[in-house]
Amino acid sequence: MTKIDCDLLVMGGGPGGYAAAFHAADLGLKVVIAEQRPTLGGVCLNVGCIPSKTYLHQAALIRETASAGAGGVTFAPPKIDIGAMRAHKDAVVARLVTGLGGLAKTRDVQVLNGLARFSGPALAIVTTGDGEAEIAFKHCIVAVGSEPVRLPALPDDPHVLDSTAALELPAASGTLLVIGGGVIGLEMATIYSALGWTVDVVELSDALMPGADQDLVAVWEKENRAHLRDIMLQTSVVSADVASQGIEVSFEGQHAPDAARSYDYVLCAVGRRSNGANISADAAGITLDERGFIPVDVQMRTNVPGIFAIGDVVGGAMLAHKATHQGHVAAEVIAGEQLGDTAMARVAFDALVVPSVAYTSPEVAWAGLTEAQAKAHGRDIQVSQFPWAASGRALANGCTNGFTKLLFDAKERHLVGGAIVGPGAGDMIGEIALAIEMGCEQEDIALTIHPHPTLGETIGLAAEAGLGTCTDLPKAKSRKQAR
Amino acid sequence: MRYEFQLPDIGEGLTEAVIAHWSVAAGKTVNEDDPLCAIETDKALVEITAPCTGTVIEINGTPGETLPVGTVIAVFETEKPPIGANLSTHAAPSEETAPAPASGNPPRSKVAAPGGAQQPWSKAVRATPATRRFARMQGIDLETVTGSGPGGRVLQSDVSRFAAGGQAGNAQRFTLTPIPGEPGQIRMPLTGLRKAVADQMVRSVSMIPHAASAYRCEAGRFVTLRKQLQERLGARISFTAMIMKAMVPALQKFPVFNYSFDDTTNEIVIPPSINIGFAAHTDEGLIVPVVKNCEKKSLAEISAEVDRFAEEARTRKIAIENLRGGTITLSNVGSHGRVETTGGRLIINHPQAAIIGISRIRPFPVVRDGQVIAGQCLDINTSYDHRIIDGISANLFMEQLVDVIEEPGMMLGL
Repeated sequence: MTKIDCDLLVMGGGPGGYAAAFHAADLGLKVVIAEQRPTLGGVCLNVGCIPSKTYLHQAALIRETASAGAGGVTFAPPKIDIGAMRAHKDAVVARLVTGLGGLAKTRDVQVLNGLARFSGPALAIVTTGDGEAEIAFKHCIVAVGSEPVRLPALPDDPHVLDSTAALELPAASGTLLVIGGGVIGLEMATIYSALGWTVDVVELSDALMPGADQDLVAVWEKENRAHLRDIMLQTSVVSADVASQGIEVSFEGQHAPDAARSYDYVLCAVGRRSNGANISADAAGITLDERGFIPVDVQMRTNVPGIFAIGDVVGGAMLAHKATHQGHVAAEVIAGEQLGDTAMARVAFDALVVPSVAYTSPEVAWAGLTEAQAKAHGRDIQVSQFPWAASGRALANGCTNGFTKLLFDAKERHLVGGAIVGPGAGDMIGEIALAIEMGCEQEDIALTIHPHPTLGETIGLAAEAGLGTCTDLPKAKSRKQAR
Repeated sequence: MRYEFQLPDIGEGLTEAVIAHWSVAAGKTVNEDDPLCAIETDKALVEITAPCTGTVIEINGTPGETLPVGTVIAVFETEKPPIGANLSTHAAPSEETAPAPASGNPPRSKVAAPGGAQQPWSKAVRATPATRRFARMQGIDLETVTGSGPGGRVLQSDVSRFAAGGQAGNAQRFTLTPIPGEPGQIRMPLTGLRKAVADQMVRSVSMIPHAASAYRCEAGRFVTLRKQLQERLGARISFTAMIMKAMVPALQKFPVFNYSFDDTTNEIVIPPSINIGFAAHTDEGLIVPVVKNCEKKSLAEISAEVDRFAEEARTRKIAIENLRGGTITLSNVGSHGRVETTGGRLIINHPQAAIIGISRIRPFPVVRDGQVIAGQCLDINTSYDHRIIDGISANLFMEQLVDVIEEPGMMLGL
């Protein structure tokens, strides 16, 4: 068995793991990454964010060209070559992950391609293609992520997909049932419907995109009713059986169809679960909670000295950008301890907000407090919003259904939450996150000159609307909104 | 029903307090309003009473321990929790549970939700991400730092100053080195009142450019007048109160001595009334009770208030509101001990603009009509904020005060 000594072992090379590893290496530590996949980047780069965005960009293009006729430019119906789409997606992913491999090399970060598991509080075994390697580490960061939850009622069949399989576009067209109305399910529904598939969405709860402001979701739903066949809320799948033509699904609940339906494919997108159970946590003495998450403190420490955990495996928002930031924190605390930099050893993950984005058409993005949370927790807020129907740019771009909504602390006037629905919402939410982190007040945002005419301008205009200084809305309306 | 009682905010702006002692132990039954414990705030010793009738299940906080406001200090089993009380169940908190600290780990910082993410609905100290990180690196809890930025934001410079030992003050221009340890050496942390006094002195000295001057006056008539007044009023009248009364017309004529300076906005603040603080000594440190609206009060009223506050301060029972709102301070150092003070530099009580000090009245040779005689003399001195008070103004103010002390009848003309 190969024996390797290192300062830091990072289990998992996803956006949290590689960020932690690279940062720790930059700070002067000897770092090893154990990654099960042949490439770095984890779910996000290989089978998540990046490949899905490749398709979502194309889906938005298809939708936009289809609706361009009203403006006098008519496109012929698109010719879709799913083989070429797949190849394009693979090329995008390959370029990125190759780049990551290069970044690891320039930092002398050793990457072992294999599954890592603990064999003690300072030892781990990595099983690679070449056999086993024993890693003796001073510190370890567990960044093994999560995997899609599979409903036990669903048959084990190639026509039952998870998000990874769905990215392989199994056919050019057909019927698809998306189980789960969360962000991942709706992104997949967006891709497949744009490609011409007949798509139904079934969701157990009474709302799509749980966690998002439902005013925004309503806009999304209104625009997507035309592209999806049925959105069945408060409905569950009772059975799904392999039939001669695909999968036969029967439903029950509020919006269940009268009879069972037959689908070519069924996508299960009901959530993700922690991979905490795969690392022999017991051998190191790491506590897992009942759902397999690893509890950590604000410095990302687990209960075992020297072992940290970050990203999806610690629970909370299962988002790449959160994992990356947590990875940097863990790397700094560890480097601070090993190098005797006590100041650096005290840093912690204390972001006020982790923005969320559904990269659908239209996009839905939010950060911080939502109106529903404010209400539930008795937080006194003022809601300021700007409907895109009053934005010249939105009119020119044909996206007047969008709106921008800002939530301010009613007393201290600083921004505590924000949400945007419309094209580019995900690219604009960063400004809102920054304003929240910086403690910007309503007036700070209103007095910051936003370029005209842009969709981002609606953030400034929403703040103005709350202040009653917005001259792009009727006077009475802005006063009413200010209340 | 279980009721968790949190350390209350008993005074405006109070963020932490020291447990002075407990009047109950776990397992005892108490009635509502029975003494529970005493806490020491920045100035006063305050008795906290039981919020409800019931059994004390547990108490938290050992005497001498500093706890932030909102910390659960006692848990009751009660039939009748206070109205609006936050009830807790025995169920384990789910979302915000921290893992048990592992031995050998450095002390843990506050633990938020799993993954360290903050709950968006919780209120946070207003500071930028860089400042929050900087504070962490300095090992400083941002909640203990007073922000000088807009809307109370804590700035990096506030954290630097705090780290350098003072809540406010000019940026540290030198490095501090620790006193080396040696066998037999004893170290005690500054806590409670001592810490409050220390912070306030550092704040005063580092923020205010002090100028000082000293004067000697004949107080024979002042002494005689005091005797006469005491006989006439049938009550004790203190010298402190008489000096306060004499300060009123001088402050009215030269109100700049009654101003304050807001260092966070660089503004001169003109208060609507004359509120004279007086330095009261306690075994734990200095306390400055404030006699408010001196311009509206008779000498007898001022004297009674001074005596009452001095006693309350000595026993640490004085109400917080009687320690706030001072516009100028009087220090009667001369009233303590056998040695005679003849002056010395007084430290202004930030954010006020001036402080007046008086010594003991005693005989001194004075020259009157070319003859040296024994005069009843009072040494009086002042320190003032030279940013807003010029030396000439200080002289004019003190001349006015001295005039009244030397010839109390001058009050008739004021």
